[in-house]
Amino acid sequence: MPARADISANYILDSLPRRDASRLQPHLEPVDLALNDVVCHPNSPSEYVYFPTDSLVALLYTMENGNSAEVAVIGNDGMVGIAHFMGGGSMPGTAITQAAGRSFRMLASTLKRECLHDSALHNLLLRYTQSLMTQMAQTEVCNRYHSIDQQLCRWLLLSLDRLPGNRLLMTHNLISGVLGCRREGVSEAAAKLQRLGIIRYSWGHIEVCDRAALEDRVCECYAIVRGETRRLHAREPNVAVVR
Amino acid sequence: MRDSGTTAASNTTGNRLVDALPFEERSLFGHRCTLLTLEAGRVIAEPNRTIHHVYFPYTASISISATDGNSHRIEGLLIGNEGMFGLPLAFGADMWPLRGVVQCSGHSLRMPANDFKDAYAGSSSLRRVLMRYSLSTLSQLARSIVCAAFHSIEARLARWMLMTRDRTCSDTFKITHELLSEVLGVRRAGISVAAASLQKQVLIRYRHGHVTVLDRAGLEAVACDCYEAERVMGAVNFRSAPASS
Repeated sequence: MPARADISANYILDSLPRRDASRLQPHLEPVDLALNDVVCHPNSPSEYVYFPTDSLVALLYTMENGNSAEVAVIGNDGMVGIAHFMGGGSMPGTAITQAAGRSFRMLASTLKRECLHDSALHNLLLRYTQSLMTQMAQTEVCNRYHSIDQQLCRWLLLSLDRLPGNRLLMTHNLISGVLGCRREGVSEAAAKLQRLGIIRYSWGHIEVCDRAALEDRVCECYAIVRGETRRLHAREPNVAVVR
Repeated sequence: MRDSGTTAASNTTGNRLVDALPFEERSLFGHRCTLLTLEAGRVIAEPNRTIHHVYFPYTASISISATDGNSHRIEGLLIGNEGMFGLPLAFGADMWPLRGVVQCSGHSLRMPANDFKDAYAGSSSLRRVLMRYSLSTLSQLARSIVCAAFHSIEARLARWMLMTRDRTCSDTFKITHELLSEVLGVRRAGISVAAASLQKQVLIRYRHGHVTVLDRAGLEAVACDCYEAERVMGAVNFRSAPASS
């Protein structure tokens, strides 16, 4: 049986004052997210919110005709189910597990109870909302103006940042749906990275071998999103870190 | 002298967020605002610079765009009488890496940042209204990503025209092909072709930078699904919030 993940493995939970974290702990249930698990269905409120620790959840927006694109990636930096925090039930998108791993889940009703105005959790989630908005806005620019190669690098780096360590394991198939463009284009870009030894396919998974090379190839979009996330994380001087 | 921004008769302002506040709060809120005219092209916030004011437009529209450091930009959000510019102040941040520019000239309420923070801290109604608005903003952003990836320029242009019409409460507005090409992130030639097509279908008249919406239903038929999806969500968001905090 896998070791129980520590709640400090998720940034939001880790940033809570000790007292708040203790109060939440009994309500945080460790769950395993399997690849392609639909964590939230579009336009239908999920009962739970999720705090990934070593898994990745993609927010996909799907059109009527089935075209879809990833609009954000959520990992140990955030929470799936932000709509509950905002008083609404759902966002018009699907949350789907992109990299299998562990997460904590909590009843949405508990979240609402805990998120009183100016509570630490409330303030962390407000800043996380801005982090998400920035990620999305930057994705739009990137998709429009930058090469598929650069988009892929951005996405790989953002994913790595949201997982512990430097290892990103996810299947090749999922990548095509991610960037909202032709599957062939993404496959070509991934094959190129593989030829250069930057990524490696093993056992159906993609492993990043040379993160520095990714950072060399990526467009400015990555630095903009990372910079804003770091800035928002830094604005938490009074919160004791739970260890 | 400050204009309170409310009309004596109806005590409504013309901005739907402010008007969603309880009756007794609206007037006080309005008194903390200045009413001003915003000219198209005015930059109201630069990326990663402190935001000094929040804006609640009546008839002006504000375009929020992301950039890539190479002067490429694309509009992520369009804000008008349904919304507010300045969400970072509600989020406890003072800035974000996005640019805010006035798209269509018009009137707007404006409140200094510190007054807004006070009002936000003191009113659970304002917080509730803004959280719902934030959710619709997230949705608008998500939709824009997929819209830009998949929908035709003509469908996107029709959507943008309808959104602008709704947010400024006017069937006429000024915008150049050049600006539209930045907003939608496409080459100017693409805008010209799409605009000509909408004109040919007698849905708009577009001359010398002046747009007139002639056939709203027709435009809706040409616009991508994103327009209808957002309208539905907007209707949901503006149902009155429950009284309890």
